[in-house]
Amino acid sequence: METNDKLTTLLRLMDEPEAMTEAQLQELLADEEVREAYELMAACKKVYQREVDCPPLFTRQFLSFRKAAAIILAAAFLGGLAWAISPFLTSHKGESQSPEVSCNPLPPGVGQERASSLIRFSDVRLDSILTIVSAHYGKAVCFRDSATRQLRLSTMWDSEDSLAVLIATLNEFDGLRLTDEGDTVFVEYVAGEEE
Amino acid sequence: MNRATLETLFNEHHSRLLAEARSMLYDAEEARDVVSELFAELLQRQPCVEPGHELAYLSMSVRNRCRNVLARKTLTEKVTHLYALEQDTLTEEAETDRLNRLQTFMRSGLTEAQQRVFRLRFGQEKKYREIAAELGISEVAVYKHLVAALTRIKKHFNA
Repeated sequence: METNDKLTTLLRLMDEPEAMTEAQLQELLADEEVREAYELMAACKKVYQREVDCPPLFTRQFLSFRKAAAIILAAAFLGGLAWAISPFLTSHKGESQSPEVSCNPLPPGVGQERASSLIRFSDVRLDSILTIVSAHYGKAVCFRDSATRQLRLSTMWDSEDSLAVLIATLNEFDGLRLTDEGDTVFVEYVAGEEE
Repeated sequence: MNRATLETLFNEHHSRLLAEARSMLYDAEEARDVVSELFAELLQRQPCVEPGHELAYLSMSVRNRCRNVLARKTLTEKVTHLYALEQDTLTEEAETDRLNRLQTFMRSGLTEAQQRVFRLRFGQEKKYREIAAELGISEVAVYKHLVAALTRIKKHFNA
C-alpha cells in the first residue's frame, strides 16, 4: 500500500475508530509509517491544545471579538466607566499574596473603554489576553515556558495600535519578554531581569 | 512536606499542574482528578522533598499519573482522542522546543487551506464531513489537504 493510501486509511479510521476492532487498529498502527504519521498528528493536536489553555467559552466569546466589544462598549457608556491604565503584574512565583491563578472563564477582568478600539484587561491571565490579541493580529503565540501563561496583568490595549506597540507595553512588565518573530509572538519570563 | 507547605504549593502551582495534566489528557475533569488525587495522597504521605525541588517533584508526579491514566485506556479510546501512543521521554524543555518548532512550521510551511483544515481537524476535533461542509469542499478534498500537510511536515522534520 502506498504511503498516501496508508495515511488516508488512518485518517478515515480516526474519524470512526469504533468501526474497527482493537486488533485491527493494533495491526494498522504496527506499520511504522502509519504510526509515525499518527504520532505526528498527536503532536499537532498538542500544539493546538496548548494554544488554548482556557475553557472554550472564553475563546468562543472572543473569537467574535467585534460583536463582544460592541456590547461591552454599550455597557461601558451606560455605566459611566472610569478608566485608568494600571499596569500591574502579579507573578505566581513567590508572591506573598499567593494569587488565585485558576483560569478564569471570563470577562470579569475585561472591559471596553471609551473608544471602541480600547480594551481594558483587569487582572487577566496573560494567555487569555494573548488569545484575544493574537487573533486580531493574525499571529500565533508561543510560550517558551508554561508558567508564563499564568501571569496575570492589568493593562489597556488599543486594537488600532500596531502589534509592536502592544509588545512594547507588555515588555514594560518586570521580567516579561515578548518578541515578534514572523508569524509567531514568543513569550518568556526572565526572572530577576533588571532595567 | 507538611500540610502548610502543601497548601502553599497547591496555591502557587495548582493551575500550572492542571494545565500540565490537561496537556496530556485533553480532558479537564480527568486532569482535575489527577491533580486532586496527587495532593490528597501527598497530604497523607507527607513525603520528604529537597527544598527547591518541590515543583519538579509535583510536575513529575502529575506526568506519571497522567501516563498511568493513559496506559489504562484502550487503543480505540486513544485513537479517538488522538493521544500519543509513544511514552514521552523528552524533558519538558525539549518537548516545548519540539512543539514550538512544529507550531512555527504549521504556520509558515503549510498553505492557508491546509492550515484551516488542520486547525478544524486537530484543533477543534471536527469530523471530516463537518469540515467539508464548513469550508464548502468535498470530504475527499479534506483528506487530500490533511495528507498533503502531514507529508509536508514529515518531510520537513525528517530532512
